[in-house]
Amino acid sequence: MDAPTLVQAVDSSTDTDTEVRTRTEIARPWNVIVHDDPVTLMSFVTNAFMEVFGYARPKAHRLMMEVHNTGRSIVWTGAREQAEIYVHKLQARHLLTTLERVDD
Amino acid sequence: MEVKRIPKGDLVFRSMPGECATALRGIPALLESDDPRVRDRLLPRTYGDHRLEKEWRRIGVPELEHLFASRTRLIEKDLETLLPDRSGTFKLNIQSIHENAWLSGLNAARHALFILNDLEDADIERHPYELQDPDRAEALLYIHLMAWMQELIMKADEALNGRS
Repeated sequence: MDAPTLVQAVDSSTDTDTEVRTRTEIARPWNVIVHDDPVTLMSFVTNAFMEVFGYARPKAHRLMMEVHNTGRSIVWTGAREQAEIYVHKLQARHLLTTLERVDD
Repeated sequence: MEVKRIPKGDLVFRSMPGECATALRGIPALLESDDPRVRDRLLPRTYGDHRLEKEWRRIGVPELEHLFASRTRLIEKDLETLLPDRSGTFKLNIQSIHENAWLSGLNAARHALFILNDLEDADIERHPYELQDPDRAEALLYIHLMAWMQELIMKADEALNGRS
């Protein structure tokens, strides 16, 4: 998938404060969060984590159980564009997935 | 119900109960539901930030909608092979390259049934006959039968790929 270009370009103005702030915003990582739902099979969720992220089964199972027991799990953290690609793949499988900036 | 993978890789289901066949035939209509509650679940809000969500809706969501429509066509194609077999039950061929479409399509159909029939979280753990309303009981039965199909496809996939 072509990731949406949602990240603002660095402001080329001479306002140093704005530039630093924007660079910081771009650099700040994003959390891919999967939320629990009553319908999706637990085995399907585990397989999705293995297929989408390449996680080994024990890690995928642990994350799935975290979703099940606590209602949500941060399943990946990193750059925005890659995070959106992962969200697309998880939502394509109908896992309830959101994106949150770290420390939001 | 029996499941076998034939030499060219397709999954062949035999002795499928009639209720399961009926549930599967209903999948395309469920996937194409224009009920806003179903749409909200299948295309959920992704960002808390309004501007970012708007951009996601503009760029990311149409790609998902296109994928969902393509997936429905693949499932419809395989459903053309859903026919009675010798014992009054049914048979179905799922092409190997369509297995992921089926797994996700079944998940989407289960969500749609859950929402359209106002089922509650606790209902999923119940036996269909515990529900008084016949429509909701039938929906829950179909949700369970579709889960059975998902499990069978995943097990066949694991046997093929040796995933551990």
